Amino acid sequence: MSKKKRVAIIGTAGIPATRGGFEMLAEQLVLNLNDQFDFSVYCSKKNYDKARRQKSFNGARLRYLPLSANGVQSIFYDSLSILHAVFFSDILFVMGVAGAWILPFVKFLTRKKIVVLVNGIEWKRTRWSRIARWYLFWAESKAIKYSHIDILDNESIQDYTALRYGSLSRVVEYGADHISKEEPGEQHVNDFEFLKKPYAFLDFDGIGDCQFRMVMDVYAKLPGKRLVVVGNDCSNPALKKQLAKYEALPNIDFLDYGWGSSVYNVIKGNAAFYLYACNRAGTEPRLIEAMRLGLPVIAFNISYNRTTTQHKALFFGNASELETLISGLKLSELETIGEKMQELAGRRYTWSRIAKLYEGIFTEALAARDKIAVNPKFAKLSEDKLLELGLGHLKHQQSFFEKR
Amino acid sequence: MGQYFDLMIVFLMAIVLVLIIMPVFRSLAIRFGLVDKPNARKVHYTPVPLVGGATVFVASLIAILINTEVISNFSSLYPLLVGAAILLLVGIIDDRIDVRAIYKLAIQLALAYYVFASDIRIDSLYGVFGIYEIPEFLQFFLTLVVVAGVVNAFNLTDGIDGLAAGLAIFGFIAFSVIALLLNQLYLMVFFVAITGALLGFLRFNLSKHKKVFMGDAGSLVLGYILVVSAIMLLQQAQLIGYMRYTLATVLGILALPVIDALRVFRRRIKTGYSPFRPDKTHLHHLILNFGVNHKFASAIIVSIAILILALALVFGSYFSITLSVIVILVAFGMISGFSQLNNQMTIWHGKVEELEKQ
Repeated sequence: MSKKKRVAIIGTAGIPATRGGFEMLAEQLVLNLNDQFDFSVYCSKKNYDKARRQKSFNGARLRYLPLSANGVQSIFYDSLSILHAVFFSDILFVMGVAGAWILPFVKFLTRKKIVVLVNGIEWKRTRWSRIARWYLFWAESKAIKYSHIDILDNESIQDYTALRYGSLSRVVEYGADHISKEEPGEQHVNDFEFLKKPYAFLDFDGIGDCQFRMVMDVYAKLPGKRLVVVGNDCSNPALKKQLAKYEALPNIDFLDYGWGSSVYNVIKGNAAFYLYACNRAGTEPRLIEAMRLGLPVIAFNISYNRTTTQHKALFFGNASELETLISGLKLSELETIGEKMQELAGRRYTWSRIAKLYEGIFTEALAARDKIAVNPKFAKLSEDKLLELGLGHLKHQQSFFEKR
Repeated sequence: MGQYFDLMIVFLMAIVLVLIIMPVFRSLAIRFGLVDKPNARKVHYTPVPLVGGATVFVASLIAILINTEVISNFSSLYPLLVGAAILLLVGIIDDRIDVRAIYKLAIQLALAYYVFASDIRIDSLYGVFGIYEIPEFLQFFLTLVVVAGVVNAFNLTDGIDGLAAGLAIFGFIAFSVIALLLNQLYLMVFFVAITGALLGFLRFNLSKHKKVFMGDAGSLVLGYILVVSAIMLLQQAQLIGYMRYTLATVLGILALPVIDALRVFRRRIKTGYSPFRPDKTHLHHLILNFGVNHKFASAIIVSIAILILALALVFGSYFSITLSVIVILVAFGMISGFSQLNNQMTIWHGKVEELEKQ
């Protein structure tokens, strides 16, 4: 029996997952593909105290580093993980671009296969400083150019990577079937009186993120509509000071519960609809989880959200449109949308499907020599040569990202 | 004491002469259509008179005529003044009716030959990469290439308000110090006069309502004077001493326009275009992309030039000229690299926003 190929998963905080996105992806790959591959997962000691650290998880070796997987430290975290993994792994599966500066050296000096998951267009996000954005912009180019296969989590970013890099990026989203609806118990209803009536659910990421202020201003004008905002840090004193103006509103509740907690699942799962006002590039794991729960979705009108919901959600482009949408919502309409979201999530955003796709990608990466480009190699031949071969039509092909 | 007082008089006279002459030249320029009309590539919106260069040259020339040091060494200034006057004339004609590039290059090469024939030549590499004296054919080739090259490179820096003048002021101040060290007082007077005239010019160049541009005439003349002066100073340093300081200063002053021009040419050739195709990829365009205004961008670039000079002096004086060349290249590479990165990020930001609407 041939030895299993070794895959190093780099760039996540670690497993077992305490959050969605990369961490849940890492966990699910380990759970679904541990028969096919021998996994090592790099984890951060900052997220797992001594008591919670394990040597392995479902057969995957866990290696801990004393650095954070986020922020500036992520550059060193990823870099050290890559340097270490080069000695033990056949495939380096790198999530994010923080450590991408080292990939050219890995590609040219080793025979390791590099698969990179590019999480959106991070350099465009205004929450980062200019210097951070410069680095992310540059690092993204290194990640895509020097990987054997690059993966995007949203089809709407494929045009961008094709245009900028000429790369035929793969699109693999996330699964959402790790979450299921939890009915509220008596205690929940006692603690949260809003559960008795319809309310909208909003994941909180920060005041400056996801057009939070716009949403608050809209709900300030709709006192009859309830909004529940749940975030990890809502009870932070510094943040509470900034949120005071909105906390004073009687129809908006701010709750401090982490993703994955039972209370979070109950509150989210029983909302009348999920409000997603973000304009960031990529597929948001919490959005597809909401779809999995059968929640109707009202999302910001941008290509990524339209792609994630296959244009079947309700969309708004500005405060006025959001206000009109929320004011005019009908229960029957919401039910229909919720069913569509759940059907879509059940068909597309399942971990078995996602894991299968990754299995194919890892297998392909092992055999890959060069990266597949958007433009075929024959396009480099002169037009005269192609005409001679009777293939002149191939010189002027229109690619998928060139909209007619 | 007397010598410095004379310098002060020349300096002030140059400033005042510009303030007097400029309004006259400005009116004439508007009357005869010697103006720069705005287009998609340029960064101004109304026609601007192109008489800055002519005014600076005339004012400087008049100001130095009252200095005895200059009068007694006037013949030594001929290559500088005659060449500058010819370039000024060609530049004014070009500003008015767009002379073909090949003709302008021919004039520049002819002037470079005139400089060479006047025994102002690059006859050595002064230890750069370990090379010293060079054979005569190479002296000829190098002198022509360097003179024509620097003249054009400096011309290309004249893209935003205050930049060409700012770089030239900085260059002439540095050269004045070197001229003093080398006891070339007549050159020092000339540099001080031009510096004064340029300061007077800036008053108009940075003005909103009485704006004047240097014009190709001005930037070509300044580039010519800078490069020919540099060669003259190097030749003197070979005889008198202070070669390291002189060479480091020359490299430091001329590095920025030359390396920026070469960088832009390389990029254009790499993307399949003519190196002379106009675009917005010069250093000043990249700095403007940070969202700063012209004056601030010019100030930043002059600061970069000061940094490069400082690096050249430190590494050239304490280590070697070769090392200072490498350090200058690395420093400029880093600065232009970051600027280019920011520029690309701005461009792609716009493209992504368009894609997101689809």
